[in-house]
Amino acid sequence: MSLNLRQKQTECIARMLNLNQPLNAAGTANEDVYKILIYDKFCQNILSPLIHVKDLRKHGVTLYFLIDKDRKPVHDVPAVYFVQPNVSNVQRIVSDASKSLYQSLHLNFSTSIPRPLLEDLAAGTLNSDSIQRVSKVHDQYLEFVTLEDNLFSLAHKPCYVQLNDPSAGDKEIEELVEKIVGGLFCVLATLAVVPVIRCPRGGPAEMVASALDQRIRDHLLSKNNLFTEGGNFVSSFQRPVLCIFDRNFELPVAIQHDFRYRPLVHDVLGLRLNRLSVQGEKGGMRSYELDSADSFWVANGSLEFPEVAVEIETQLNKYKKDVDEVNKRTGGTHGAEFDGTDLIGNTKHLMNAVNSLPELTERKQVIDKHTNIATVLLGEIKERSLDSYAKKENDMMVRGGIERGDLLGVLRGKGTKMDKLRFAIIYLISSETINLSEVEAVEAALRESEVDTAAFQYVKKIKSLNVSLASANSASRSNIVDWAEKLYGQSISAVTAGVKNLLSNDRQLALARTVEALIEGRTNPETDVYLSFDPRAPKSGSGASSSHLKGPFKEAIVFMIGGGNYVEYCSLQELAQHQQPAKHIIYGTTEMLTGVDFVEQLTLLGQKMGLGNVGSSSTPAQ
Amino acid sequence: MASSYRDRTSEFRLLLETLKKIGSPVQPENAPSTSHGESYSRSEFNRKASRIGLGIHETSQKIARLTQLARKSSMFNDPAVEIQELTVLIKNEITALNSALFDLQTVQNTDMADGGYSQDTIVHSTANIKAHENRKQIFSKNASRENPLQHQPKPTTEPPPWSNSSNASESLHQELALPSNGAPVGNQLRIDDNMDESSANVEGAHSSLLRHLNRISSNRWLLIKIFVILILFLMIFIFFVA
Repeated sequence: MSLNLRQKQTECIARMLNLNQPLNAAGTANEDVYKILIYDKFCQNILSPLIHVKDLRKHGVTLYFLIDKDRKPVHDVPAVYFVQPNVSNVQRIVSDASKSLYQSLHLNFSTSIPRPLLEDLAAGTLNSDSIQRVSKVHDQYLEFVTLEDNLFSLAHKPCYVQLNDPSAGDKEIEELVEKIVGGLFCVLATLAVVPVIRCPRGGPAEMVASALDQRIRDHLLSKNNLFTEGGNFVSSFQRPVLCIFDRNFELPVAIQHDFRYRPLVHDVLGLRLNRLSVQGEKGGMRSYELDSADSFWVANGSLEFPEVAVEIETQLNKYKKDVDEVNKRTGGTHGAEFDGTDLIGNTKHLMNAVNSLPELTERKQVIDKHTNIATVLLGEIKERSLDSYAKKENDMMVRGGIERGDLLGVLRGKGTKMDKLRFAIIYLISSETINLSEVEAVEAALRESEVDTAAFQYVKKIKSLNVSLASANSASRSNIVDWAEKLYGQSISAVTAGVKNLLSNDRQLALARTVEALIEGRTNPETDVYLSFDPRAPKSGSGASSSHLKGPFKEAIVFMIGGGNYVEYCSLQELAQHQQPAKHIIYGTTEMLTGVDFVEQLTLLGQKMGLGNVGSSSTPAQ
Repeated sequence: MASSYRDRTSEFRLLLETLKKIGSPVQPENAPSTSHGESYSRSEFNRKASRIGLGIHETSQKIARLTQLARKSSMFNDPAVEIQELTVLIKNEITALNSALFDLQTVQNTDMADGGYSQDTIVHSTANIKAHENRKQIFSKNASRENPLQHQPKPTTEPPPWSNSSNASESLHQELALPSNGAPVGNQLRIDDNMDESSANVEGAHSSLLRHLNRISSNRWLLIKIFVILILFLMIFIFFVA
């Protein structure tokens, strides 16, 4: 079983659009059945990366509306609802049913509708005498946004502020944990797997892991549970591992500048739901879609930006060579004089040329798209010196320090205020001990640039109070020692792996290294103390550590609480591809954040802590 | 395979039954009058709309086949007759679809006279009309292929900013040094010119082929010249050998 989250969610949505009946062999609905699709804002975000308007037409959907929009009655047409189960949506459905807007209502809730809401729905339809309108009620368990085959987001915002807010109460934290658990449960239900759950001790990761374990256990006890494997014993031995982490596990990744294509497009140009808008060459805004249908994006998204530029040039040259080949074969370049003896051959070439024109046009569109994106990226890189930021931040993370002159020079040089603030925070996190004079110089330089230093002060405070950041830093730095051990070891494979790691010139994230240890099941001083939950195991054996829990896994789901980004996603995909045999890793997070988004949350937390004596004296609730 | 959704309809029905029993038994004094006329009119509207949708789908399939036939511009297996027949058939079907749309509008006007005004119905019809217009445009594009336009290839301007680079760091340095205001326009123009030049060349070659064939087949004097040369060769051969 290969976990392809995007494919599975798309199949579930297609079945839902087909009124939860089995699809035809051709995969299309009956042409005679028309239906109307009604969704809310959240479910619109779920649908837009997966389903296009022409796909809706293929499934028989002729009209689609937001549920909050005023809609006129269209009798004799069934309506498919895809909404979140909340009070306002239920009231809206009852109102639609009472007005007899549609022939029948097929209700699909994005996750399990609670019993009280179902009772409200029943009471509302009973009071308005519209029981016969409601045809079906389904829990779809699709409440997550799948951006790529192995990338999903729960679209909860802003999680990090709520989890680390010093004034947050236990009730709010528990509500947030339940929300995250609900989203993760939907992902597991769509994949139809019961994973082994691993997480570090303490903090939100443990809370989410234990709540999810309990949720799956309760569900396995009930009849008609979603994970019935029908006696398929082979797949039960291939269970994936679900690794749950908190953002504080590796804080720098969310802040530092990265120089790979996919993270750059997300961080600099604001990629959202696989779409982005950039300034076109004529001055107008151009909108592009970057998803699995774009083969260039799939193949080159993980490359460093200079390599992407070289690749665009290569594709352009290949395209021009093909065009020249077409021109040469059709022989239209040299006048009207013509040799009649090659009539048949030239006619055949002409037919081939006509057939190849659509493919060439499509390739030209892809090259145009990435040329424009790369050009806009290049402008931003030059204007803000992003390459310098990325290189210096990487050096700081690896070496653990930076010269004072370099540090202050960058803070007084090019770049936006957010760039300098991010750089200063990376400096603060990567330092082993706090040098007070340097920190004061950094703060003075930030104030000269009119930067709000609340985020900087917040990170300084949690660094003095919390050792988890320090452990993440030391974990990152010990990467070099691991490589050295491999190099000096006697094993040839260790030397090969070490040389490969050094040649790749890529520092491995602590997250990727930890996930690698968890997948392989090797003895590791960091991951041995991790908690393990097996929802299928009996509860009484919670203390026993069977080999089943720690064995090597073929598949993994990595979830980051408090926000993630494409840097971690690219790092995990590289890890999956370099393993022998190849592994399969799905990355998910509460929301996809750019560095600016995350620093804004840090600023908010700093302001909360700085507003008054009570706030400054309390510790962050973790 | 395990289904990843759960049917809560039976639970919903059970809740309805429970609430019915709990609720006070109110006997309906006035039976709700079923709007049979409106229902019949709606059903007729829906049926006609479905037929129009099917017709549009079939016409679009025929247009796709016409596109394929038009692309197969073979010199010796000319499907011109089939193309013309298909064109006439598509024209007739589009006319029929237009009539059906007018009938649908009539049914809708009757509904509005009955007071059943519906804006979404207009949106529904608009969607069908848009699809119809799209099919017309596709047909017009196919018709326009019979008049190829000659494009003069434009000269290309400066190369893209990342050309002439040997390795990553040098490439990066080169990119940072180059001005960025002229690069996208030049690169865009190059690709556009290449595409236009290629289309123009293909169309020019096609025209040249047709012109040459006409010229050869209609040249009577050429035929006579070939015959005379053959006779002369034959006479010389007989004279010298004998």
